[in-house]
Amino acid sequence: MLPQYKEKLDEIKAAVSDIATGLCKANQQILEAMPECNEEQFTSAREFIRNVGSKTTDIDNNIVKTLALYSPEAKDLRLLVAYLKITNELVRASSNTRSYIKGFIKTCNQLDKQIVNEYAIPMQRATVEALENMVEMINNDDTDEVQELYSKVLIAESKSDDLYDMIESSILAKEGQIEDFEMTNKMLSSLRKSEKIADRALSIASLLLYASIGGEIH
Amino acid sequence: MPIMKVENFSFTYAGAPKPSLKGINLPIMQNKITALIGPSGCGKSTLLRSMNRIHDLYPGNKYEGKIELLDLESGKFENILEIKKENDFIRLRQKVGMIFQKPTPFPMSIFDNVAYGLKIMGIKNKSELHDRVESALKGAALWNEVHDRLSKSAMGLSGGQQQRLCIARAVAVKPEVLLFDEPTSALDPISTGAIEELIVELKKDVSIAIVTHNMQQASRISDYTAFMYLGDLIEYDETETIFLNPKVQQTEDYITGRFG
Repeated sequence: MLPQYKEKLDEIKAAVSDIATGLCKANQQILEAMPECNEEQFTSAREFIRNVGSKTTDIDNNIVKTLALYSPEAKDLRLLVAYLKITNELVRASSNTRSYIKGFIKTCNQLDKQIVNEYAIPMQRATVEALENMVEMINNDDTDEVQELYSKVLIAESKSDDLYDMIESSILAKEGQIEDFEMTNKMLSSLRKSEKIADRALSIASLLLYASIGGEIH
Repeated sequence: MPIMKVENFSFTYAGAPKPSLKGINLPIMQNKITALIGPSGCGKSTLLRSMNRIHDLYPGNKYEGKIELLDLESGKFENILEIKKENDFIRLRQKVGMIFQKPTPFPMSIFDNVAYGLKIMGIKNKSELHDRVESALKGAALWNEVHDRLSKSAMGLSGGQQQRLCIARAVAVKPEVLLFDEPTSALDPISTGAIEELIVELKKDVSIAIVTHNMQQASRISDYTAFMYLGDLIEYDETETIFLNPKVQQTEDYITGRFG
């Protein structure tokens, strides 16, 4: 293998891993900030996902150059195509995280504490779990371990989905008692972002699984 | 910084009615790999062979323009087309070595193949000869495979090993430029990979020009690429630009397989 080709592959992998790690850290910090509705912690979580757009553009250009110059095949080709789609997912997950922070800061003081403790925090914990396993997948080359990690992401995402459904049901059950419908709507929309982030983690994990074991892109 | 400058260079083979190369301008950058690509008959090998005047083994060819080679000691360029004396040709070919498509080991031992050029340079001391041969074979990534059979015939080596031996023979005389004329077209993919890695490694010490029909090879290993067609240099640029954003339509059509 030509050393400059290997360098390019390593460089792209490191850059993707770096953004994914930042996304994960931002969501871990959100999770820490949730119980006390710590606005300062929420705001500083944004630091982990700064300039994701320009970073992913650099990665995409690097991928295109690598495809043009080194004609990768088999696993290398699958990996680069997967990364090209993953960067888009990372941009969207970062945007979801920013919206989540913004929405949560606005509504968290008015949220029902019971809903936060019983559903919102566990949902964010499941999202973080999905992200952590997804980051581990990026940095793992063992096919068996990648498949195992994929299953963990799948379970965490499913948990996040179920918990969001429970939040919705729980709020709808209090339909008659809702005083500020607009605020409730904002709160639901904000909480939905956490579930969306877990969705993105699963999409990324699916692409990494494709890169690792092959088959067709789904 | 260029180590060679081809300036307004034209070349006509003996007896040919018109030139095979027309007004070529091309730098060969120091410690970089320059790939020459283009369809058969475009003049890329003719240009490469002009760079160490190997055409002069046959009389009657006509050169016009300049091919300047940087003298690393004086820092001045010398027009190699003005060389006339046999000794100067030998000196030029020590500075500008050439590796051909088919491996061309001499029918002698592995050691003597590499020592051949050194002996012509006047190195007689056995220990110095041995050191230089060892260093060249290591430089050509062949030492580990042949160190215990240096006295055996080079003809017993595999194709890929023979090609690396030829590279070691060229490297032994410490050239400034190495010219590769389709060096892997007769080799299997594993040997091709080994030669490509070697060429990339060599550019730390020498400047390289390579003619290849394999565009992936050009894109993988070269820093600059020149596209030639019917004796003209159509486009020269950084390899990344040629393979990603070529400026001339003919280049784009060639590298995307639309003609040639």
